Amino acid sequence: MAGQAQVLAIVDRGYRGAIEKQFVDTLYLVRELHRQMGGMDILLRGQAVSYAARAARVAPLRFGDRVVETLSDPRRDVRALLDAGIRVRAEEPGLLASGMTGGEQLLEGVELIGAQAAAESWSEYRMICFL
Amino acid sequence: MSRVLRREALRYLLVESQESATEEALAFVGDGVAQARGGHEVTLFLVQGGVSLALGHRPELSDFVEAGGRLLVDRFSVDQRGISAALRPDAVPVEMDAIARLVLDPEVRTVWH
Amino acid sequence: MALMARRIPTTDVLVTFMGAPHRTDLTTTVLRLVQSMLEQGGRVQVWACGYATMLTQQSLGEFKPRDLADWSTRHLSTATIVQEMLRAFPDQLYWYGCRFCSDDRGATDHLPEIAMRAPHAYAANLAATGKTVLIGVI
Repeated sequence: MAGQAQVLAIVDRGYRGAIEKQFVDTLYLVRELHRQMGGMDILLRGQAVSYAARAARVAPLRFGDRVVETLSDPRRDVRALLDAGIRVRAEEPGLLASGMTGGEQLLEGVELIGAQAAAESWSEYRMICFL
Repeated sequence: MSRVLRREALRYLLVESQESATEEALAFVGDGVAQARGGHEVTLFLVQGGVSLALGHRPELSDFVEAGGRLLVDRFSVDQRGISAALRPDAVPVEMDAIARLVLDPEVRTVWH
Repeated sequence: MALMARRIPTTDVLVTFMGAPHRTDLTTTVLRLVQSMLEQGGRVQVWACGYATMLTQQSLGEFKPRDLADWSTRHLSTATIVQEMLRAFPDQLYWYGCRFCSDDRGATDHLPEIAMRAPHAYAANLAATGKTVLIGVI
């Protein structure tokens, strides 16, 4: 979607149920809201910054005799947002708190932003929300 | 008068699953430090958001290890967050099997936060 | 009229699971722990309390609703996962649900393998296990 997004969604919670959510988590919802709300930009904050960590991976898990390979995979979902043309930024304090040292440790296409700059960007949007 | 503490060494498994930023999580680590200093065998297992405690150099965890505590972190949770390279060197990543063995051990008291 | 008390098979560990799904990875962690204990030959009973009772509702069906972005991939429901664990470890795993918590949340139709128990019956489960671990909050 071209042009300025109408909504800034801040995602500051994460890892909310790998086995029960699988595909349908916050980032999945974002794709639909982006389509219906006139564009949505994402700011990853706090622990959710590691959603965009280049080094992250999700191992399959065995339950009973079944190996479940469809667990929640936030890195996959961030990629899907980028592919859908959604702007994804990661706030610097969360990056540092997640053990990363620089933007090069984020997925390609995810922008690193300082906390002050992120707050100043609110005026560019019609609506701010937490997801 | 306070109750007399048991003298024999006990074995504890403390499981921290809460985000490390909370005071409650650090208080729980403090519980572990107190038990270890009391001569008990204490394993602290960090899982889910709790693994972020093992990033950086939190003095509370240093106190725990210096008191003889054993620090384990959940490999699945670490990999989920891509933070294995940033873990403190005294944090040992383990699979769930290691924790299951401790929980099954009748001599180990498990405390889950 | 005296009701016949249910016999509670003896286990090594009773996991009293009170955490809510869809909030943290607690459900994933607990199921991983239970699976690991079972694979090591442990006998385990789970007592689901609070919102953890939602995991085994029949209405969840075999699969989660379809992923509209990936129609061909099916995702198992938690009810199916618990059911498959029970079938894989028939003499090692027992799953109980707190009837009060379940009724209080409108979750009244559970897998047939789940034994629903009144809160006051918890003591019998405690008596039938070597140790107990409480996980999560109601």
